Amino acid sequence: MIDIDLIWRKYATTAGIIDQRPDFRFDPKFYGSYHPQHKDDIKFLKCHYDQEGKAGGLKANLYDYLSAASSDINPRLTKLVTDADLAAAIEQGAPGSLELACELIYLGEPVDMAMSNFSMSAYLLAYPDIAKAGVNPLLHYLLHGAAEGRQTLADLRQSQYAGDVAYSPDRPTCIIAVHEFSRTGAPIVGLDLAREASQTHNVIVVSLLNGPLLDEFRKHASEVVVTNRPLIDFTFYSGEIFSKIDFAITNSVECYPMFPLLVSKNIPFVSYIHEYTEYTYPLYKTVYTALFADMIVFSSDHVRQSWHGVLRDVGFDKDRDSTIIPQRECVMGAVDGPGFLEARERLSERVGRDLSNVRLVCGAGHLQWRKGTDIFAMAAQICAQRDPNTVFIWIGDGLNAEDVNFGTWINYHLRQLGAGDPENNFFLLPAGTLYPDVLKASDAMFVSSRLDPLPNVVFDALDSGCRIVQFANATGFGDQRYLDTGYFTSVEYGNPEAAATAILALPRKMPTAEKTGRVSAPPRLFDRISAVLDERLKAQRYFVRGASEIDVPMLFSREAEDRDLRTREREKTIRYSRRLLWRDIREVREELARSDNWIHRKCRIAPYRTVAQSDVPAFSMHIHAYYTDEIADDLKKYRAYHLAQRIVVTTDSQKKGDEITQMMEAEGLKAEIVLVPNKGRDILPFMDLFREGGAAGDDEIWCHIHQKKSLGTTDKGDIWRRFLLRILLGDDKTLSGAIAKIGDEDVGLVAPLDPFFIPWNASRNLLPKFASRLPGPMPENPLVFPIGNMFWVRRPVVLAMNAVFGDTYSWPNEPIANDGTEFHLIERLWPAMSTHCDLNSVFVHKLDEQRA
Amino acid sequence: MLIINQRFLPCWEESNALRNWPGPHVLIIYPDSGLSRAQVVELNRCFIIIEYLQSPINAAGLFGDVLGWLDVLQREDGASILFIDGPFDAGLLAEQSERSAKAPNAVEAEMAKDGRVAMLRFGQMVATSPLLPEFFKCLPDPTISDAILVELLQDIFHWEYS
Repeated sequence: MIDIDLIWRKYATTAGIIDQRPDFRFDPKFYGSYHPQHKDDIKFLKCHYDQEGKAGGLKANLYDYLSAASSDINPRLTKLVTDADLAAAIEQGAPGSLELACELIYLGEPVDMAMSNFSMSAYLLAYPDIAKAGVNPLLHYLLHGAAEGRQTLADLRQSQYAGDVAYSPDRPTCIIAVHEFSRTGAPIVGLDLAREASQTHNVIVVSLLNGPLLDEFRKHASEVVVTNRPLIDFTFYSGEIFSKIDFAITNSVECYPMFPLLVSKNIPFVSYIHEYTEYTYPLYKTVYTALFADMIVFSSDHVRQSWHGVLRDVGFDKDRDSTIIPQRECVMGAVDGPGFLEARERLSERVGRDLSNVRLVCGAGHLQWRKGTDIFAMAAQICAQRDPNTVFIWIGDGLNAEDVNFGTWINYHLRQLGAGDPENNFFLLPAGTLYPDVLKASDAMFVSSRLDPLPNVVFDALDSGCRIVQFANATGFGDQRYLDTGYFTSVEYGNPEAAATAILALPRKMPTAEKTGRVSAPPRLFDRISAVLDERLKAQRYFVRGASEIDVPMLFSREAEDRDLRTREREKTIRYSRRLLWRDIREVREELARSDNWIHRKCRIAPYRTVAQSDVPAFSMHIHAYYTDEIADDLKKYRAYHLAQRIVVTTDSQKKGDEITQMMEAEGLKAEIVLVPNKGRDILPFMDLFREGGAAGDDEIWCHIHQKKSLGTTDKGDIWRRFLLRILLGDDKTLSGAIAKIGDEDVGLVAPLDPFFIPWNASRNLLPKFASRLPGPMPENPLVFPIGNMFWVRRPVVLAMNAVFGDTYSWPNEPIANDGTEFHLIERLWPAMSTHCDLNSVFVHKLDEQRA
Repeated sequence: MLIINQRFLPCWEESNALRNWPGPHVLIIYPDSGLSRAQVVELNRCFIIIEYLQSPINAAGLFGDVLGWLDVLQREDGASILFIDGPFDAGLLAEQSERSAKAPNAVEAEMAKDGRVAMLRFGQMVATSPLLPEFFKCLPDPTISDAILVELLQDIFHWEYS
């Protein structure tokens, strides 16, 4: 018989309560709730229970209470227990075993999740409603949650798979993270990494999504977990391996959900990047990678070039903190004569055309715009005219005629050119067993991709002795190291005619006399990447500890319980001199002082203050109100509206105009409604007021604010909007000093100082277009500007902005992108216009006002 | 590895004091340093810098940070660790270097009047032990006083041939 008291002693010792509670059958903490005045007197409580309480029906512990409340408790507890001895005791019907189970779980961390599939804290994390209600999580689960189907650690632990490689405490432990277990490029590279890592390290493989490669990964790992919230779930996975993780490799930019875990636990990591920024959205994936990775390893220099803007924008030191390591070595292989002939025979049989003597050109990959399958087809059409003996084969999946983004059109295209007809020169094969034959049999591979980092299929084709034709500036194989091999021909980007010409000029494949095996050496990717990280960590010469002045969340939440985690994320970015947030006001001042750009010489920083009405100059206000739902509220919340000499409101319909007029009248205000088309977000309607005959008239001082939903659709947006208005206007009783500041004759622009350090981002691409129209060179980084596009401004500054674009500029119509348009550029140019007018720009800080 | 703090800086250039302690030189900067960012950048050319935006509550916190971040560097350096809180001259380093050579397995400390560690030296055998950074990671109570920390270190790491 199992001694259940021994089990209690083991866990109670772990929890450090064995002295206060030698027996699980009586819980002084629980019983103390009957006698709060004696809650710390254990002896009294026990005595009271024995002498009076028990007879009086008082409960000795939680189990005593719960079992009296419901008969379903015991089977539910039985299901939760994972401790082998306790489970056996329950199965044997040992008296007190279920009571013990309940009392052990009720001890909470670390006991609960060590002996059961229930964690008090995980339950509260998963169900904030229960946390908010202050209900005991175990009580809730046993009485209600189980019946409601609420989840426990058992569900979470189903995403934890044991790997085939035994954990060894003597080895270092690393995480290999992939975004999914699909049989696609990045996960295949991840598998190579895990395979190699498992020779020398304990490996935890993390995937955000499950897929067909799961079992392959399990062969090369000690643990495999599939989770899209690693920060939370890692707390609850079981196994010593999770207790000390030395470093991680996140393979693909899509692994960014790993960052909160890695940053919170100070686990250094390399991001191995295969993706171009041109197609990686939302932008924050790339920004967070650049901010938090200790080292970024790119698969090619061409990919790194694509990241150039993002890296510059956050102050990432490209030379120090990044390097290039291709996932495979580039080696030209060969195919033996018999293998070549057999492959061609099998393909001939499959496509119904004799391919024994043709010039065979292959393409491979999922059918999509990015891979340029359509261009591949066009090259085939061109070659059909020039050399009927040239045949194109594309091997890959993804042709879906119902996909109107691509499949519909390529399907129709292929039908028109007679793809698959033995009389024709284009054939499509599904991915699968014919892949090696296609490569062996082909003379060349045409990489028709529009953007493709370093596709594995090219390495495979090289192994099989194929030459490669590709577009310049389209793939990582455009790096000089590949061009120097002589195996690659780069032609004008996106030009199928140039590709066809290059293909027809290539020598045909010459099979070798003898059979050849795989030529490329097995990759030593993991070794190289981990060595790069080691070197980087060793070279670090600056560290910072503690909370910097500006506390705004990046990876973590703004809640008080995440304060330490927010400190951790800032420590890391400051350590590497990367920046998404300003560190403190001193840093803003120092950066402005250090800048030699003409704009920054007239940028000033000032603290928020309130002023008397007598300090405020005469001013007008412009509200752009595409949405109207917050106007009434704003009019009440900000006294400044009531002091404006004029309030001009631009909106796009008479109905909205009437609505706004009514709201204003209800507050005793008069709105001048100007109807405008929905064009140019909030800012073009404002700038247009200042054109000849515009509603701005000769008024000198203006406040521009707007109701755009881009600021207000989310909780975060609401907070941001309140932040801006509070600094610009004050509140219902007070007036912001910003209003007085714009009254200073030497000031042309007043805006809130944003804690975020917002760079040019996609607007950088527009700078060359406007360089000749701007009064001087733009800085490397704008440093300060009215982020959110709400500000106080003097009339000449707006006129200067209008002059940059002229009266006939072709503004883009809605819908427009979230970044990189003229309107986003204008937001960044206001300080330049103010300086151009020989006026100062003042940025007002108020660090106690929540920004995000 | 030599770990010093901003209070050493006034006598830095005059004394050329650091020549007697080869290996990495770590400069701890506290929030009251008064150093500008530009000065910190300049100092970073000569020192590995650990900047505290709030003062560490005790030596355990400080050494936990230093040995956590510089673990690999320290093991590769393979030499003793000396921490000095305050100004000193080349002579003091020479003396410490000599004592360190004689006691590679010792943890020696001098305490200041306020109970804080004024000087702490880990002999080479202790400084290069892989257990040293682990010790700081596993401290059950990171708020322990400097005196108790020194006692614990001496209990665990200081050994002698019998």
